[in-house]
Amino acid sequence: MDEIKEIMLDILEEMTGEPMVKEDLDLNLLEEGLLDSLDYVTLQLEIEDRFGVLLPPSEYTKEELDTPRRIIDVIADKMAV
Amino acid sequence: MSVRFYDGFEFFVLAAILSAPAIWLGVTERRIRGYGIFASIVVILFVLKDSPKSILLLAAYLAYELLLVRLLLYLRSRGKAGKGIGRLVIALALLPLILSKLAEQLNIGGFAILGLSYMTFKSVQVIIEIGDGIISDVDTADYVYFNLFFPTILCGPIDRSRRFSADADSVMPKSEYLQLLGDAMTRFMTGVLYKFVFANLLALAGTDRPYIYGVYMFFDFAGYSLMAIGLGNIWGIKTPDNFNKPWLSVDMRDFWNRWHITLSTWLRDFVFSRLLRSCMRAKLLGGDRVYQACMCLMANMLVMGVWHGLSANYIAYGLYHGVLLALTELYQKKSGFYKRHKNETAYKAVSWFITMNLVMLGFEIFAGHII
Repeated sequence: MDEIKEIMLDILEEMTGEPMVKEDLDLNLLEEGLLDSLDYVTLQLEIEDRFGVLLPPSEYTKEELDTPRRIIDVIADKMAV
Repeated sequence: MSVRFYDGFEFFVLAAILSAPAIWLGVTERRIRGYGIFASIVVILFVLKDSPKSILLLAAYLAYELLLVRLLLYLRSRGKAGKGIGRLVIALALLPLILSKLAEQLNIGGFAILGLSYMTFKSVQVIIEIGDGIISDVDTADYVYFNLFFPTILCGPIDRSRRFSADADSVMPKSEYLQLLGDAMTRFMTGVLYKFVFANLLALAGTDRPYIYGVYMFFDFAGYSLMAIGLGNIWGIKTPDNFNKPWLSVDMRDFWNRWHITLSTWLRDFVFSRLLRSCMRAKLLGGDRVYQACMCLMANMLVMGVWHGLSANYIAYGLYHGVLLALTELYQKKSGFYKRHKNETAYKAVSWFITMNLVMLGFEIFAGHII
């Protein structure tokens, strides 16, 4: 879990250019304008390459993936299966 | 007596009569699903009662799409559904819509299927998500209900099957249902006000005039959507919103997050994101993700235009919005000016003014006033 979290936060920080994503896991990435539709596709590919799990675009709504914590939890769930 | 969806006294009387048992089921904490399927079929039969052929065509369409669903599920369970098979089944699911649009363009009548344009989104969503492995089983009653749910069958809002079935299969506590029922009344009455008062008044003012036409389109379609969502709520279904204050949009991207939301999010999830993913994997356009996104935005909106119809005005409408979204993407991602000023009030005001005029010009193209 800690490893997933660390890798995901690195990816998110690099994508958004916002160090706050590491400080505040409940930061709303949509409301802050930090992730748009292009970024979500990039995120999907990064997750596929790093963790080997698929995250099809319609599986979760954007609101279900709007904070670093929620994204990490979804990946952790998928890794656990 | 003729029943037409959201048009004329008969429909509303029929909807009211059929709603009463649904409300009783909801208040007494019973599942509404079975009765909802029955009521949807009753409404559809009333609407199509003078045309047995239309009833048969609708039943045939549904059986055909369900067959594709079963076939894909079977092939996947045998591990035989690769990418090629998946794409073939998607193409087959789209075939009735493509044929109907061609027939419309060539003026070949007699093959219209009630709600086909909107039902196709639902059928294709299920097929794509089976291919993704998100859906591993489809209940026939759930599938029929999802497609035929009468409040939204004709013009949406476009729901998603997993969300819809979760609502349909659940039983709410009485207090929650009563709260939803209250919201349903507010939505429905707001919709009536929008569509039958505001839109009709604007129609009197003349929808052939720029600006008036755009505002008319909003009240007509947002009013319709609110009525559909409100009516759906009575059956315990929380269909997603279609509009969110589009007149506050400060750029074109913002506009499409607020206008016909269930269409734009459907296209985002099932067209744009998938195209972009393929472009990124293939490292097209020198691997520049912004350029790739621009190309996919144009393709995405072209699909949106073609879905409305194959005539020049709809195709131009799609291209117009595709180009505008691509330019917005380029400008916002590559311009230092945008990054420096985007949060200033004066910048937002100017950006809002330009956006509104671009939107209104789009409606003129859509209406065929220009092409």
